[in-house]
Amino acid sequence: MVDCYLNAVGICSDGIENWQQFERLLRDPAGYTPEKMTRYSPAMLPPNERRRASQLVRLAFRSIEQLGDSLDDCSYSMVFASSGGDYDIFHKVCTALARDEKVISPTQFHNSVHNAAAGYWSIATGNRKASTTISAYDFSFAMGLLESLWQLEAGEEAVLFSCYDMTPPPPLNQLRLIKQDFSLALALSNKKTLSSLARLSVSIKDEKSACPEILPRSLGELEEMNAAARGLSLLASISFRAPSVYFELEGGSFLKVELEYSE
Amino acid sequence: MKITSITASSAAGVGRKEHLKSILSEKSGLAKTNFDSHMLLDTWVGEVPQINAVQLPGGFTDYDCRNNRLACLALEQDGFLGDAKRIVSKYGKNRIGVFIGTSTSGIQATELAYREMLLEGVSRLPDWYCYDTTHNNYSAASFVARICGVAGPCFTVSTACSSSAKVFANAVRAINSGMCDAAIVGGVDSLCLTTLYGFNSLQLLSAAPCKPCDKDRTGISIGEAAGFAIIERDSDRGVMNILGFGESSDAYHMSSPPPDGGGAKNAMKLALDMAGLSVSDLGYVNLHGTGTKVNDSAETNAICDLGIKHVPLSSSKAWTGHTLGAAGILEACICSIVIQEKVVPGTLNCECVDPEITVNVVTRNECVNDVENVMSNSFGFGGSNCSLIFGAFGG
Repeated sequence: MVDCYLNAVGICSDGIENWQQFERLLRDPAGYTPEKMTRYSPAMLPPNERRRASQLVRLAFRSIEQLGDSLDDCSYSMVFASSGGDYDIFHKVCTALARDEKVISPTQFHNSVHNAAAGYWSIATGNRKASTTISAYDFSFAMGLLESLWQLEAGEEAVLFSCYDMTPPPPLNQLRLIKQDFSLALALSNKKTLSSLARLSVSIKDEKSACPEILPRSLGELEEMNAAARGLSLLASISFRAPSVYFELEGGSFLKVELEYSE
Repeated sequence: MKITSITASSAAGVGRKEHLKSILSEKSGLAKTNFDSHMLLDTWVGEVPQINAVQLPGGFTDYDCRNNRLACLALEQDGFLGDAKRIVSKYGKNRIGVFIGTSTSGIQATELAYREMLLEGVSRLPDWYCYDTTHNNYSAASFVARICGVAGPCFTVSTACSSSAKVFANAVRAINSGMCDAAIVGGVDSLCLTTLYGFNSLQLLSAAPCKPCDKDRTGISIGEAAGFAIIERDSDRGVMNILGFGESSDAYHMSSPPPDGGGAKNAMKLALDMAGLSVSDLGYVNLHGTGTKVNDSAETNAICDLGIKHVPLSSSKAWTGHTLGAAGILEACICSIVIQEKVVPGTLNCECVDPEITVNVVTRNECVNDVENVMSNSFGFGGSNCSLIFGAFGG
């Protein structure tokens, strides 16, 4: 069992703006209208990098930048997780490579790496600590959370965990159907703060015990189709002060997250 | 922690023995081959032609792509699958983690699918194309986990060219957390147009075979490789120890390091600190050493800054090509050869070391009496750095 404190949440998707609005939405699920997000301009990127940043990088920044002061200086390490990376660039690059000229741009190429958002974030903040970017397909949220806790267990004081997945363009959406962009960011720490939302204790179990469905049905489709949005049930559980939540892992076991609250 | 099994396959050889043979005979695996007739760039590549004959085991048809074939080929060498079986029966399949590095996974399948789609003038990808189990980054880790029959925590690390170095850190953390007893780590990256044309767009591809650290170096040669290792907390028998790792970010530029190699220096320093070693304890450093002007000078500046003056250093990239997300595991395997066979590979193709490089770059093979501790560097796009320190087996 490994544990940590969750000190702040960033979240965005169509019709979801931030943690406060998301908590209201959880209590008024009928009011959920998933209007397309407008293009985001990351405030923390220098102008040159902002111009080059891809849609996926913008999506990641949109929730991370909500964490604000909860990310203490540059004393935190970073874990990024995305099930599929930048479908938009894969589409453009594979289209270009199928033609005779085969022209791809340097920016397209360096943005195509799975750790693009991590690279831009360290440039934006000057954070030179360890950073990793992982994929575990539909299990990416759970595995990213686990890796974040392993880093804290190994002595890191704080970890930024960012998890995001974008809508693939056609024809890739024939094989990976994600209808809505989603990103979330968690400020995790070994230290409890005044704003700590919960204490998380994580373990792997062969079975899950029955627990009530906490996420409103109107958000269930988002959770189902966007791998990063699997994190919604953690956030809903915390908002409703549930004692635990389970995440399915490949091979049929479960990541159990036990939750404790201060009052 | 102990590395109890390690293997790698690249253009320099399939399995450890062939790598040793290539090293001893100073024979490069780079060639002007054409793995794809649509690849029209004037460059040398490190191709593993044996991939073409690989057939994935029954039940893995959906995983069929160049990347997973290469992974399959590598898993079959050096008794690795037998060693994987041994740890499954020792610890149980749920107690073994799988952490695999790749930069592009099976994107070549998507390249071919798009080519076919556009050729036929349709807007549907061909029926044979499976995105989830080929192109998706997780395909690499999932394939290895399934072939090895393990079911513990499993993910792909994709941080460009540091990917399969960083997996050693993931494994050590996972085991230290108590949630795993052992781990299978490794990496696999295979030739594809995306990386070849991508590096070409950055004007980093060399038209001649790469010559790391040479005064006339002109860039990188791309290669493909796969390699795997088993990490256990303790064991009576094994290959070498993993003593330390250091991970850092440049926070500088997406595709080039700061000239002083500050991030690289941090990674090396963290690895030395964790291992409890000083620079004089190192017997060899395997450089990232890609062969571009900027990369080689940033890395050697960082090494110079750390006071690593007399330790023999070399890049093995001219044997294998730069194998990107597989470089970390491939070069860990080469480090195991250095420790066990007591031979330091020279920096092949480096005829005259750049006079601006003032550290001890070895250009020809050297036999050594004893190499206790070695360091391996892997640095990637996005400013992602990782240094690993391995020691002779024991303790």
